[in-house]
Amino acid sequence: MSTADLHLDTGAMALGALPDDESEAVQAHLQTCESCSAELAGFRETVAMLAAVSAEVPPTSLRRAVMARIAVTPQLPPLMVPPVSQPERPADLTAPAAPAEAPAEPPADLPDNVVPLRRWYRRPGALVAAAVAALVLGAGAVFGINQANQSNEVAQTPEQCVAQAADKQTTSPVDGQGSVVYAPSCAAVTIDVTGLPDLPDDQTYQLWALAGEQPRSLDVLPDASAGQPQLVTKSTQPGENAVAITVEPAGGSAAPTLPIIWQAKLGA
Amino acid sequence: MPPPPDSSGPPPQAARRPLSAVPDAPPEQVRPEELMRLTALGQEAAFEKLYDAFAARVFGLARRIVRDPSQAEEVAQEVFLEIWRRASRFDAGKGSATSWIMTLTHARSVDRVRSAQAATDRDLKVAQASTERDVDSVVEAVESAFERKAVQRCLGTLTELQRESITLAYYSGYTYREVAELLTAPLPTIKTRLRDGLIRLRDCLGVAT
Repeated sequence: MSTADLHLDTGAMALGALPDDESEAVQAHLQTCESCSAELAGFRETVAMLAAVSAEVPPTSLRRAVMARIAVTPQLPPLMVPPVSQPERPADLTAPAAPAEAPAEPPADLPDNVVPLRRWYRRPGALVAAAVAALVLGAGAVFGINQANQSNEVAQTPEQCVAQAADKQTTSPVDGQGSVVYAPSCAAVTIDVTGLPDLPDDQTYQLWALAGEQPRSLDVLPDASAGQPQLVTKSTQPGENAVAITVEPAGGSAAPTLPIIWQAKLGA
Repeated sequence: MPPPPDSSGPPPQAARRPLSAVPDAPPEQVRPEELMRLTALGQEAAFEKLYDAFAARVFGLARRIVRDPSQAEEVAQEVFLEIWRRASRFDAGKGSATSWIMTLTHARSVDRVRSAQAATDRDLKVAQASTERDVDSVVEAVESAFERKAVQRCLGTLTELQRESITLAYYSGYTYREVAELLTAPLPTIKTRLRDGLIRLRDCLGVAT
């Protein structure tokens, strides 16, 4: 089998659709192909999410049966990796699984300009509550579209503040066009959204600020939704470290609907 | 309109409090990886939480694949028993607990079908029709309701051929060769469709790689 074929096998493998007689060759290939094993890992996480679609509450008898059986079922000891050049010690039966300290998110292999967003929908209840609250509170904090008015007036608008701030930092979206200029001293960010495709009339782009995993709606983006560039300046709140755009039903949503189609960090 | 921000510091903390009509956020949920770790220590309470978090997904996937509810219940029971027994072998460095549990569920469900199957030919039409089914019967209480919505939406971004191939492979438990046979398509074509479909799904769902 050619190497090209083996590269293609990650999809079938993640879906559990590779026959046993083929998976051995693929396993061997994965040992030597770093990009393949990374792809497989991502596919596995993706495939695991497919099970959300078929979720179905089991009969209560299942819970009783499972709990009754584990009460009388011993557990396997952890697999011990023998320390290099040290005599092997007897397995400690009470030792936790190898990664006792589960790595704190974000994973270390993320590019540093990527904010992991998957966690958003792990706690939908909290999200909705927070986003609804933020929406209501944020409604008063919407500033106008930047008219590129660089006048020297003393009373600055937020967009002028950002444009002239000594501490402004420009970042680019992770994947896509446009730019984000964040000025901590103004507690505001100017976002230039360009190149997003035109949306159907019943959908809109919605802009969110993220404080870690907590989203806060900033506004819907009517111009961008019509396929036009859009420049907006929004106030930010302490702790917010990224902005993201999702596609929502017309009028916007209280909580973000995936996918994230555009995201950028606030500040370098 | 709040006062325009100045350079003296962040806005007052009070501005961030939710309105009283909005319920407080529920207490922080324990991550499944942490529950796996505690389960490996023999903590039945942690295992029980794990059960509550995954029962609907494990049973639902088993039922989708084996189709018979009582067999699905048996498979789910095997899966949870295996989670209990093998918790110490779970390595969070190699993937999420969700991925580990659902991979196990898929494998055990397919095992069940294959062993019971030899004689029984499942009806392809039924399998295909099942792509869209159940959505409404699925419980909203499932922790992953939000995730489900995202997955459904992202499945909608696949081409018909990609979706069909992935559905047959995953929810019906066919090998890619069987999928190729069913769809009368060449083997490499199916492999490519599965992979391209997963790339699109992965990107749509924002899975970090």
